[in-house]
Amino acid sequence: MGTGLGLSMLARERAELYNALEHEPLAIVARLSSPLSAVLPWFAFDSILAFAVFEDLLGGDAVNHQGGNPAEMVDIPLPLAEAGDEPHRYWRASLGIYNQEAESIDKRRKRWCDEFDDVVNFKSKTKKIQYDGLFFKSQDLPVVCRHIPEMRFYCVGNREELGRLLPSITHIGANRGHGYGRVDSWSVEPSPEDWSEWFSGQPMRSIPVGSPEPSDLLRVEYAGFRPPYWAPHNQTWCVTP
Amino acid sequence: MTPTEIIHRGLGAPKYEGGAEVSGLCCVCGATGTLAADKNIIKMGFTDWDYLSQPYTAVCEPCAVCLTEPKLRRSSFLANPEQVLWLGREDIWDVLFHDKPPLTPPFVMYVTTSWKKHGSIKTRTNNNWESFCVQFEELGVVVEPASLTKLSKALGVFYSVPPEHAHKKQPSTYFTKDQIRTGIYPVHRIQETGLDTFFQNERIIQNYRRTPVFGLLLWALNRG
Repeated sequence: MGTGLGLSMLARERAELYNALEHEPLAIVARLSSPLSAVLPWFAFDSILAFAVFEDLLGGDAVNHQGGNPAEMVDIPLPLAEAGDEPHRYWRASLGIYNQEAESIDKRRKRWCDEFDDVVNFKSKTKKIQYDGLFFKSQDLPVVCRHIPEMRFYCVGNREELGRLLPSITHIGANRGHGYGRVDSWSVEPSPEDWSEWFSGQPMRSIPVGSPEPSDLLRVEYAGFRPPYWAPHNQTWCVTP
Repeated sequence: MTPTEIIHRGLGAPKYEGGAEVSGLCCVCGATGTLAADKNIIKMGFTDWDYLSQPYTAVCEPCAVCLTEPKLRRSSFLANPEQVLWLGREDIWDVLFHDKPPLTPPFVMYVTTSWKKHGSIKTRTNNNWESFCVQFEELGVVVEPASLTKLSKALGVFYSVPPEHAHKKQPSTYFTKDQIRTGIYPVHRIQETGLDTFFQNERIIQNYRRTPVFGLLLWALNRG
């Protein structure tokens, strides 16, 4: 997630705008046209949407954004309703629900490409590129491919704003630059019921509970509850799907 | 509790000596980092740049210990905040399909086949033994032992020693791991197995072939 003072100001302005929006239960469908690359089978909608807002705030600078002060993390506002108590507030958006047709392991290869050596600026010095080790080491890494034609999410949010933001998300999952997880289209429709958090007594996302004590029917795991999910301050004991 | 915290505590919370003090977010886990991520912690040979979540200025003590402890790279392990169990390849199957849980949750598990990669920083915290995530080299594999009973039995049959070979000093199994992995079986071995037994088990195995969990089980499989 983003860092830096400029971003925090933009995020604060956007949060004021989003606080004034009205929310309704929504069903969101992503239709995929290429296999999804992801090691683990959980896809959080709020996380995908956070990148859309981040990109919307910074425009073309989003990809190269390095941040100013690494110790300051900016909470990206979303056009979704929130639930839970401080400090464990979470967005009312489910994980992806899908029917996985197949799962397989593909390969991702990283290699120094000799034929474009002349493009590299060595500043008139001769340099040796070591690709049997160190930074440019050639790699052959496994990629888990999931064949998922359609992924469905439920949330409570603002339909117009979601409809505006989501088309900017062209790919989801990992290794998007290699063409995995291409989204053909997004649809945002009203949902008859709110299934963003619970469906038939089962959680639709990680919901903080504060203690690792297992419950009879629900699974309790140490998990992220708010994007960025990798950040330890956004992780606690949660009931998980 | 982050995975590196669990491993650090399991190792007896050793102190990382000699790091310069800075403040910032840990470039590995995102917690508050107090040590400079210098060349002694993130060494020249480090190539897991994809796993770093921040610009590499600071690192927290648990992550510094995990990155610099060579045994965490050279062994498979199972860890909880009380202890770290170092696993040989033969022990992994018993941990996955245990009768009695080897450690109490929360725990992390890493299985290596290369014996050289930084697996500790990629593991995930687990809270129950019914469904848990094992970091198998680069892949996170979700293991649900109850749903893998049929597959484990089928693999056990294919990788068992035929009775007529049992007296040999180095008995061979019905099929090698490579044959099970690729699905290319020698015909005389199929005949030895028996057609009914072969097709019954192969039908189960072919549903899992090329999946991460199949790779993990095949690695952990012991001769029956």
